[in-house]
Amino acid sequence: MAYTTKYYAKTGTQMVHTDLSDALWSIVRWLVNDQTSTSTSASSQDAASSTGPAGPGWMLVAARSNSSLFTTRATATITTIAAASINDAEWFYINDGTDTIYYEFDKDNSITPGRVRVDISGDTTADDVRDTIISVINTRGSLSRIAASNGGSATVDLLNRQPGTDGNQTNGHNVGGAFNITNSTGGAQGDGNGTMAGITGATNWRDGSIAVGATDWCVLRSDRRTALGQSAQATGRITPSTSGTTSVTIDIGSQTLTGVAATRTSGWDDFDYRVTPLSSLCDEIVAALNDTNNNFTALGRAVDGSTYVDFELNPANYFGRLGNLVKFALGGTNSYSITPNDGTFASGVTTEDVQLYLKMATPSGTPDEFEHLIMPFDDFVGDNNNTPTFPSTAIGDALQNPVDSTTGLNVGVWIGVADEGMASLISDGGSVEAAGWLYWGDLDAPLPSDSRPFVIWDRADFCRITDASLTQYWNRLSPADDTTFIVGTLVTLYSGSPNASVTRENTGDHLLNRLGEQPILPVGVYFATTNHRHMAGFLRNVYMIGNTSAGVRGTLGSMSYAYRMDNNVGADGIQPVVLKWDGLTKY
Amino acid sequence: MGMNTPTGNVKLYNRISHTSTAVFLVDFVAFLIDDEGSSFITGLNKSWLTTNGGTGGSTWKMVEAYSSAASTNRQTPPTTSGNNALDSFTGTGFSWKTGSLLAGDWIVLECGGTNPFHIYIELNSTTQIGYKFMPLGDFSTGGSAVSPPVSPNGFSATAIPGGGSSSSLNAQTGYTSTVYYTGDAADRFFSFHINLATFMYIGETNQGASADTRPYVMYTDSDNLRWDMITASQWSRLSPVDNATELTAGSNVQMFNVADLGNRVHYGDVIDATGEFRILPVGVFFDDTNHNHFAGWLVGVGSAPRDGVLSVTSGTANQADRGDDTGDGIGPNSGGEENFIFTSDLNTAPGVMHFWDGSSTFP
Repeated sequence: MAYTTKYYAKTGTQMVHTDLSDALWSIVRWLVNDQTSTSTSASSQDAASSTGPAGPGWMLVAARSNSSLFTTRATATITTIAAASINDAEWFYINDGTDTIYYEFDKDNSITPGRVRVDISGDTTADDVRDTIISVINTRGSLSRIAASNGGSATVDLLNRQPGTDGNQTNGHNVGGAFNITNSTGGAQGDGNGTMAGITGATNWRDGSIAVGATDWCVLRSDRRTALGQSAQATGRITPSTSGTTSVTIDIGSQTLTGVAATRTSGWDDFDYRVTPLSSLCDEIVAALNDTNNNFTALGRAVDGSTYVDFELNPANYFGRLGNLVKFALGGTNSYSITPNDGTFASGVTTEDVQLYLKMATPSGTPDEFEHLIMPFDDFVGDNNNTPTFPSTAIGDALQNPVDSTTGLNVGVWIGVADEGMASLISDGGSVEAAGWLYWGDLDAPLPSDSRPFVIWDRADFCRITDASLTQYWNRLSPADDTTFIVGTLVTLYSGSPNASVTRENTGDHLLNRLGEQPILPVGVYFATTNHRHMAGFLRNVYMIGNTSAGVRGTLGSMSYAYRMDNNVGADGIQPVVLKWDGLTKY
Repeated sequence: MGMNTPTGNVKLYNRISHTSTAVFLVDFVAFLIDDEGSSFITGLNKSWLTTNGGTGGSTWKMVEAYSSAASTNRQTPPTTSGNNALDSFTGTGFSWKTGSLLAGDWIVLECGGTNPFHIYIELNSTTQIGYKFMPLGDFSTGGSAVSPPVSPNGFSATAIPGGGSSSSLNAQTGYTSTVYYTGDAADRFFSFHINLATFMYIGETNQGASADTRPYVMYTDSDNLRWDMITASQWSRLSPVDNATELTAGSNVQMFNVADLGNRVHYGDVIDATGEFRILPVGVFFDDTNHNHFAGWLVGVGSAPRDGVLSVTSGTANQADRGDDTGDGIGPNSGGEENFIFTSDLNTAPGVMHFWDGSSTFP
């Protein structure tokens, strides 16, 4: 699994826009990998879009214009009933277009391996069951594409967060009475391959004639799940043996289950390894691991596979790749085996997606600009208003407030790079200062618990990497609490004597590598806010180089990188923004 | 980012205790050249680890060795296949064959590939090892049996440190009796530390300039097992500009918060608010006039934060360690967090991080 990189250029030809509205339409078309739609209102270049690699990209969630809202996500509904009317082990399933996940109602602390437990042993009313289902689906989060919410009395609303007709699927159940789950319907456009021409109702977006200022906006969604794989819990399997055992220990996290030649004692973290046959031994281990008086239930739950025991980590504490860090080891002298056997649980994946809101605006007293905002929780609901209601965790220049106050974007040459998780563009108006920079989306190398490492650059008018305070415009939602808006800075590289940036000097002596080439250096993003301090990761496809005598724009490495900065050569503390580039197009 | 990720296989020198510097040195050479067959090694209780699907030593081989006690005391391995077997040396009492080194005994190793380099390693004394690094791979064999070798059969003019044929070596101390050695090696580098107090790194860097065809560096401040704020003259190399000038004023490159340039990312009083810390790559920079350049990132070695984990000076960690030892399986020293080891000789400075095997206890 890996990202697919694409560039905002036609092969060998720069993108030149004479109108920012047309630029925005063309960029959206590029992001959604639309290779065919044409604008009916713009000049030929403005109507063009990159011919970069086809394939997954960002996806259109909603487009609004002409007082019409076009949406692309499938929905379904569950009608619940009282818990007493549901039998233990009855189930329902949801097909999200990728996986069909079975959810099994559980009243006796036992479920079928491979199914997701819906523990209704403490529920009474239909609304109790509704709330339990919502909790289970959402706690397992991006293990599926489905988001659940309260749809009113005895009703669960299901939303396939991934746009597209793939979401239109058959769901089912074997529960009696009035319990029901509808099929998923309403998905529109193909995953990652929507077309502007396929938009209905919102004709300005369809035709490439979006208006400035008031009413026309769209929401896109990243497609990290296609690039990285859908989220999955880390796995661990114990295969016991009834022979050859003189001692056995199984480490899960910091806890150790010890096999003893005696009857198991609740609260002692042990089991009787003498038990036979194998299926009974598995029962014995499952009972020990699931004994609430022992120390494993906070870590997860054992599931009996008859000839083996699977241990399912608690997703509330060890969701996705966090589970890969949990110790899983076998000790003693025995014929047991575990999978994986390299010391930890494995194969956990955490993949969340981010949404991007874009609109042409005319901020007071400024020229036309893009208005933009990201939604890290992928939770845009959508309404048919001139400005939609944003989720409480939407990030612009403040919570729920789009970035719209800058004047950095220009008509002229546009270059850009994007993949399924990020997009960054530079507008070049020609003069030294007329350069704007945009960055939306995720970072490379986030920490395991930081499942939504999404940032937005809040100063489109600064097209530079600098160590001045002007860099404090990296905005994100704090991973410490998932609610706090925080502002971060760049991370720069210092070394040498006297203290000197690897890239920052007036003299140029540090800057141009004496081999005659510039080192392409990473750009980190750091948040120093009290109680939210963290190094979030590195910009992807965006780098820095030394302040160069080569000019404010150009290409490097046989056009594998393109750079631009909005200040004169030699200015103190300013380095160009470097985008990964297509290797073909002169800039 | 993969900046410090080895591109080849890595093997680990797994906290092995030796009773003398001499014993360590012959064992470490065997580790580098992947000598698992020579007869003396069994007696040395060889216990280095191989990980990532390979031994990582196939490109390390012997060029020439000197044994002061032997009758034939300067030898090249007799055959190509013998380049990776200390047993292949001949004669009575050749110390690299018997495993009984004396002060002054030396060996030259080659790390192969497109542009091989040579490393001269000498047992200086019972507590010291000396190194000389030949980035051009041009050690000349076959001369007088002396220690150190002399021109014309010895060092090239570009050998570092010291240059020329002088006896100047990068002397590494700390080798007292019965100490622990831990390190890692791959096809193009090795690093290790002694008793949690001494650090050595020789070999390539990642992601330097493409024109830098021999991006090889050597740490020359080996008594300093930590990442200091800013210290020049910790790294040496041959200038890639002319492949002739010896540069000795290299310094480590660390990551700084640009809004607070007095502080490195890894020098705060708290760990990340996420409860985690990040292992960061460490680069090497040379500020010499007409030779200034960023030499790339160290391989297999990085920086661990001062706090959280470094409330102690050594241990094992994962990048997501919470630093709290809460028993949740992802705190230091509580299990499942042995993908890196870190050491520092000062618990107020970021520590030196090595990749680790994911399961072994350290320290």
